[in-house]
Amino acid sequence: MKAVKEFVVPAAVLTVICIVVSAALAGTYELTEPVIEAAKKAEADAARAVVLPEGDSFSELDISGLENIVDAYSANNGAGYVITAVSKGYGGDMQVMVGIGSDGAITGTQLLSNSETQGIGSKVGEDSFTSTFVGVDSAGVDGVATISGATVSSTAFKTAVTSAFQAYGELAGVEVATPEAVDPKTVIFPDVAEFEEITVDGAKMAYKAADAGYILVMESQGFSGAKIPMEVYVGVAPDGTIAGVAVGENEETPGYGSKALEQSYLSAYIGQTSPDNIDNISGATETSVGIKKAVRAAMELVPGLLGDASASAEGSAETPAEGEESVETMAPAGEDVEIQAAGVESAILHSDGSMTITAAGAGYRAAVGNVYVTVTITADGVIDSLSVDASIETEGVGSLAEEASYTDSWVGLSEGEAPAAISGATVTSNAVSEAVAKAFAAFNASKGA
Amino acid sequence: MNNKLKILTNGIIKENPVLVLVLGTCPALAVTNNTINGVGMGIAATFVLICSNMVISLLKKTIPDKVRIPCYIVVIAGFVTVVELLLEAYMKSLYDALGIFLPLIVVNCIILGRAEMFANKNSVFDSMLDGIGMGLGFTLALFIMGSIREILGVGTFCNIPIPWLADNPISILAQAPGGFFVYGFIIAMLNKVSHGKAVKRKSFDCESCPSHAGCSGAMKGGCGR
Amino acid sequence: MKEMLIILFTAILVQNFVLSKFLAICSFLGVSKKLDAAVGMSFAVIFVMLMATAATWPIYNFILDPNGLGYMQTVVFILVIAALVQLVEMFLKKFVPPLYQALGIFLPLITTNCAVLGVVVLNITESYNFAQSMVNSLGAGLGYMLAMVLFCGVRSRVDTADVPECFKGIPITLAAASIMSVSFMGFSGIVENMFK
Repeated sequence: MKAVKEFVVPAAVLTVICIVVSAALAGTYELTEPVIEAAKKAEADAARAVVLPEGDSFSELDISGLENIVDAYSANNGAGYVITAVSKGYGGDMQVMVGIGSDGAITGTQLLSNSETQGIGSKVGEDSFTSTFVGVDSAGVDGVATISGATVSSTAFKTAVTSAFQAYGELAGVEVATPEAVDPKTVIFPDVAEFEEITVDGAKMAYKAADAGYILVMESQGFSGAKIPMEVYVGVAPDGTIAGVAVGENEETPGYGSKALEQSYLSAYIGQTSPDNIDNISGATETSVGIKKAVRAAMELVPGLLGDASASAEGSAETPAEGEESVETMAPAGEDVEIQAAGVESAILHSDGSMTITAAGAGYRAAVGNVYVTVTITADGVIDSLSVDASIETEGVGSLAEEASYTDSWVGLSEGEAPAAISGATVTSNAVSEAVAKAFAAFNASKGA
Repeated sequence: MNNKLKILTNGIIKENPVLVLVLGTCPALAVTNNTINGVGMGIAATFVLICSNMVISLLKKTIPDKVRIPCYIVVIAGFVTVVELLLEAYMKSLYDALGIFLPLIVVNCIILGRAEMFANKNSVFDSMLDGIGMGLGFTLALFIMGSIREILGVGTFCNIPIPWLADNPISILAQAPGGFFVYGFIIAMLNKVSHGKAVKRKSFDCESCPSHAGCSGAMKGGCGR
Repeated sequence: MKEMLIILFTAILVQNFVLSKFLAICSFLGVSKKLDAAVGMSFAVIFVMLMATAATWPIYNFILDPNGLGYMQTVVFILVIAALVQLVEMFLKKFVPPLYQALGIFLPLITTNCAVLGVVVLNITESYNFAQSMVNSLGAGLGYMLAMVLFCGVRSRVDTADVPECFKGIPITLAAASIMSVSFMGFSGIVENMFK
């Protein structure tokens, strides 16, 4: 009896109280749930009405199969669509809600969640930027001006808006301009309709573009932070020159490395036989160098490719193109030659014995990227010219190292010498010195060899 | 009758839970950066206090002494959830503003304290009066703190802007440090006005802890002794 | 990893449970008089926070939420915490007496410590995954400990200071807590950039 009183009764009372309370709560929940749901829906509709003012209530749409889309709603009164898209910003994922009216133009945009730098990238959330999209249609997104100083965030915002337009095209069944997702092969050979896949050792993939030439697909690491290498498409004309370069799959940083992926830059390769005369893009050095490496590797395959192909197609073993290429790889005097040098990004030996070397130095923001210095050293070991790509460094401080007043102070110096560091940009200046030292080391190594 | 009135008014002034007994400090500091939030919190807690006081008083013979604390907690948590659901349904903005402090009413020292000190010894009607009085006292204290912090810290009263102050707010008073400071200052003023008689507690000790009745430390004279 | 560190340090410094979220004020002001008591209480809180998170997160995400019982959260969580504290106390008493000696006396206080219920509810409302929840709980507990230990040092000076009569005791303690809270405000904005 005592045990019952001591243990069973308390446990039973507690259990009964728990059950009664749970039942009471279930009852309350049943009563309040419809009201809560209605309130939530009204709140969400009000948020959507911010970007689509004419919409009153919204119904959710099926978004399976759509890339980079968080959710999509259509206005019940036919006013348009509200689509939330996600893209990669400077600090992480960025969610943008886009309202698209029935005429296919943007009625409003809003930044939902982001981890952009406060005060800089976060500016894309402000009305002054988001409102510039109003009235823009799918073709006009590219033309919206980015915020100075917040290029990456602005570009990410625009990418999200573009994704929203693509989803809109799918959902509404409307034709929308798609600036992205162009086949790199047709960029190089726009007139060729069919590409025949062929196998070339050393290339990731290769295509024969009818009579227009060949395309070699090479892999090359671009920005050191990118998780996947770039797919570089190198078009080769039948005469062995480059017919065009385009980049397929890549993870280069929008607004920085992506500058080197644009045709306005890549078209400089057309007609060349090697990447030596192509300048790197300031702010996209790693990506530019990556493309150069891919092009160089592709051009090494060209003699074999044209030789084999012409052998099978025409039965002729020799083509002028092949001859030209093999001459270059044999590196005679009178030509600029790319040489292998340890510790530097690239090194070119000129016919007069001088060398142009690009080397990296760790600057203020070494965790993110390096400062690149391209220096030309004369045969007797004196700096002839020097240029700096410090675009990764702090704007207005480290970037001073790019200015002629500083780079010119290097000209005429020899190994071991350095001009005065830039006041306030000592770390960046040291990075330049480090890169120059590496260049001299490579220079001496090649002279000794 | 006089006796009933005394129970009712006791909690409002003489034993005001926040300002005199110094109980329920967490919500008193956290939600009082705005008058409306402070009063909303006060009313929500008052509702829970009245209901739990009545139910616990009703069950005081049924609940075995051994499991009384868990039983009280379940009853209180039940009413808190009811308040949560009602606020979410009908006053969404207040629900969002109070946020995590709404479920935390469960562990509010005042409610468990009144259950332990008053409701399980007195009649249902008296417990209800005590709940009303204590609840109003709590609400009053939150209203005073909320007004001071909102008027001086934001320059508005119940979200209505006040001329001049709205342009020159002492914004730190609306932030975390201001909560501690305003609270300390009000207690000091009460001390000054009543020559040290009003405030019952001279320092923080186990009295403020709702579980002090079941705490071995409290019986030995304090935590960690 | 970076995200975990951000959650951890945000919980310790920027969103300090005591000084910027106003949780566990009662015990913060009540138990911070002596250093050994403050440390003992803090360890007990960290311990119970981690245990409570490990118990309540699966309960919510595997039992309550899938069955539409999310509204039972408050009732279930406080019962779980109460039961857990009881179990831990019995377990320690029986099997780890030295630990019971150190933490035991603080355990009953913790059931109604709003920081414990607060952290498990926050983990749900912030929709953290299990690992993030555990890290957040650890950070909350460490932040509580940091505030307790630091304030302990302040208290010993404040209690002996010569202040106006009406400020003696509780008011001056609150004013000191206010100043310490100001110093913690200085951390906001730092943590996100610490791991860039």
